Amino acid sequence: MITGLALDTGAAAGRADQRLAVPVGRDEDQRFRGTIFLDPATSHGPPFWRGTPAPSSGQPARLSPIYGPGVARQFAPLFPTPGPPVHWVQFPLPGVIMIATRWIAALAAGVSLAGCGAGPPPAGPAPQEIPALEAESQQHPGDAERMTRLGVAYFEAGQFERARDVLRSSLVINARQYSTHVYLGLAYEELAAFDSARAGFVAARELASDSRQRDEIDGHLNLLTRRELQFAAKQAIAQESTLSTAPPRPNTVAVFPFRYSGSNPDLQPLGRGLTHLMITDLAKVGRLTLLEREQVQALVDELALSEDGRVNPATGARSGRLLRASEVVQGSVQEGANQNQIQLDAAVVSATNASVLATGQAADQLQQLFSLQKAVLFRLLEQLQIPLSPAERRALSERPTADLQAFLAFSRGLEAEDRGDFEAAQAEYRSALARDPNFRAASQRASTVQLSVGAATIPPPVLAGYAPRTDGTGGTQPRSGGTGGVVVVSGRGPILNSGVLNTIPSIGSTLTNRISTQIGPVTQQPGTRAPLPEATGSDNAGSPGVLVGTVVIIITRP
Amino acid sequence: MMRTPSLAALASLVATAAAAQQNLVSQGSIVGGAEYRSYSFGDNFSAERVSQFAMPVGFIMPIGDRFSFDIGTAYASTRVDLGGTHATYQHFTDTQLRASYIIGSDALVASVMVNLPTGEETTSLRDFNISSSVSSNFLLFPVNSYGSGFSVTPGLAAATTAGSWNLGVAGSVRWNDEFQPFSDSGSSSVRYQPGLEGRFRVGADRLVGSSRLTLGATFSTFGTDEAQGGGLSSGGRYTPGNRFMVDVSLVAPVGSGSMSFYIWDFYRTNGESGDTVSSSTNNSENIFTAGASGAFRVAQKLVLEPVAETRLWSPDQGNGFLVGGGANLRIAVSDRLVLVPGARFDLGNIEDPLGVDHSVTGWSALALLRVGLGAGR
Repeated sequence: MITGLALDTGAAAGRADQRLAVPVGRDEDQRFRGTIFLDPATSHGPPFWRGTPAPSSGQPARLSPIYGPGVARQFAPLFPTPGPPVHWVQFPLPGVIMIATRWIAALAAGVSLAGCGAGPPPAGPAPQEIPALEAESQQHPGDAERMTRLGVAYFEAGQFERARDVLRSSLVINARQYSTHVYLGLAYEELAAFDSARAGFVAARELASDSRQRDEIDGHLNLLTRRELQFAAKQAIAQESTLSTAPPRPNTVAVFPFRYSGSNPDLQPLGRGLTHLMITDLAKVGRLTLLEREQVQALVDELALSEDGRVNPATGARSGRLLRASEVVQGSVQEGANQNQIQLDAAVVSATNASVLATGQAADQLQQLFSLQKAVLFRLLEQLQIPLSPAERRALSERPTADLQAFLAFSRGLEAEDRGDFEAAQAEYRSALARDPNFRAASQRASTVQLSVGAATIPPPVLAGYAPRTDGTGGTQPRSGGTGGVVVVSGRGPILNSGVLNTIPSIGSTLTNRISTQIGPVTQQPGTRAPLPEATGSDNAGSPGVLVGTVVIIITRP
Repeated sequence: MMRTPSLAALASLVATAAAAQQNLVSQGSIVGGAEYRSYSFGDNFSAERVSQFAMPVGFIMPIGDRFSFDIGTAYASTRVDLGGTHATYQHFTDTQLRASYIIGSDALVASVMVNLPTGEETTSLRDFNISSSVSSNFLLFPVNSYGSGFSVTPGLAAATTAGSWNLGVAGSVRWNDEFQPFSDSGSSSVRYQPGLEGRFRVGADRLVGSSRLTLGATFSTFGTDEAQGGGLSSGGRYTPGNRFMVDVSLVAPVGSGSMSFYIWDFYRTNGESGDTVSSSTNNSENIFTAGASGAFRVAQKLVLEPVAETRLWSPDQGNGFLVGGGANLRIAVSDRLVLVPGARFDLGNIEDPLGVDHSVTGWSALALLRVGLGAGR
């Protein structure tokens, strides 16, 4: 996954070759740092890659092709005219990507634009400036700003420990430097010191100049959490022998992804959704501590558990021990003989000895999915002999939504989020909200992921305020609305409904509309014409024909 | 019938943007409630007070992935006070049955609405005068017509996406059957045939930052109404003026809720009456409305929805304005039960055709209830 991406030009970066350069920050494993050069002279051929792998690895980059649309949006403001999306695809040569040929011309246009001085200004200090910056810092040891620039240059050069030390020194001189805190956080992040990284970003957030900067930091913190979970999963596997003997944390439950087995690919994401439901519900039971779904998912991904493996008690127990959970919930959704029929199975497995502590099973029509989930849930709790207070029982009976389609969209959103495709996740959550505006989990996830969408493509210099935002509205990514619980949705659905309601209004739909949860204006407009009152002039508020006793038929022949 | 379209159509009765084959209606529900609205007028107006108590009820249901229908009616009681006396008219309104079907895989919806004349289309002249006192487009009575005969309205709506914009177009044609409007002995033989009505709407919306901007324009045109019988030996004609409606709204997340800012303008051209020689009925009017409404969650199951609005009325002669505000509470009693109580207060003025000013004081209270029935599929 590309977590940092920027576009500058050879001219802007001081290079004379007039080639368009796309510096790529890093992939998810921190193994790739380099620059993609696009030569306008060979605009019909593929771009070539130049760069060095990050010090931690000698392997080529893994660049995911699924980031095309997001990348396109990132690029789009830089081009004079909007164009089709960039398609990133893996190139046959290691570590090389190519951009669809049709975009080469547009990229070349970007070079010309930059040559005219209209391109983005240079970003933070470049690695080649390090010697000069070191000399300057020695001459001005009390200059926090120069020190920060040196730290940034170290960072850009991949010298993260040096960057960390210099940036910390800069903050000792002046603690109120937003950019320095950001780069220090980034340096810590590169060094896998996630707590320190978080502290750096939190400090930066407090110094942010506007809500947008705060949103960007919040978004980056979301990404940091994901990376931390992935790192923790790797660490857990690496330390499996130690963790296997460590005692589990009592009453700590890990719910593993529910497996779907059936022929309908549309229902495949239900596994994610049901996992979310189980965790949400079990978390309402006071005596249980639930691990975050993302934490479990990170381990599952890292272990690359097979679909079958996830429901194997032994594998589950092993995974549970790695997470230091005392119990593991595993489950599956199976398609019945009739495609509308599904069966839900779940089991609670002891992470200590892989013994099955409880099982639950229920089958019914697909539209009864939420009832099935509740039935299985209560069965598991009953077998575990966990007493429930009336309040807990009431809370457990609550359903997230009554709309199965909304829940499916939500499940698809979770799936997209898990694979790091935040834009797709956001679209799915919005789709779920469009169907059911009361679907709070979808609203919450949409708010969170909205921050991540932009954060995933913000280059460090922009995040730190060193480089200007590059979109048409002065920002690096679609503005997040992420401070609250409401996410405004837009789509064909609302506009379609608006069309139907305004051309064929009916009492039932109007009434339902008034009482449905509203995220939008509430106003009464003139309705369908009342023919006779209008023809007789009785609809005039200034002279209504009330109690006059005669009807003035104004339609008689003159 | 119930006063109808609301800009809020953008957000509820929700459909998904992703695929049109998902139903327009997300879940079946029964809705109903009670609403009271009253306007008191200053001295020397043709009424001291006009009020209405309405109890609407509706049922809406999706069937499968493509089909949905709704049915609704209302019972309304209208009272007019003047000179220490009052007169009341109460009856059911017409019942409207509407069905919608999503065609193909694109965002195309075919709908048909049938207006069943369960309301009292035939009334005495006295009752007609009372019932038509709530027909104004300017005032906000919940029910503006008790009955207008049988009618059928087929229509099509389509939506597509163009870049960041969602674009929609919709149209409908309403055919009305003739009806007997009056029951009094002198006019009981009058038959009234409303003309054909055509509506066309274009709309667009897009996200602007985290907000949604919506634009819409609706045009309505009408055939000629004809009256026969009674004292109208040669018949009578009335050609309604065309109607234009434009609306713009911006919905933005604010804190834990959302705010909506909207303006809309309704313009009706003069109608014409007569047979071989037509003359203007001088009943053009323009209503401009601007307002802001919000939705803020104040507790887990409680949403506060304040609204502030002003509307300016410019008829052919005279004018008027209303400034009002109020709030609804949306209470999620359970997963399936939503209760919405609310109240609103308006102040304003009406200058009658003679140029005399009359103050207007209005207030309303409502309690609506929705019972969800599940997805229905």
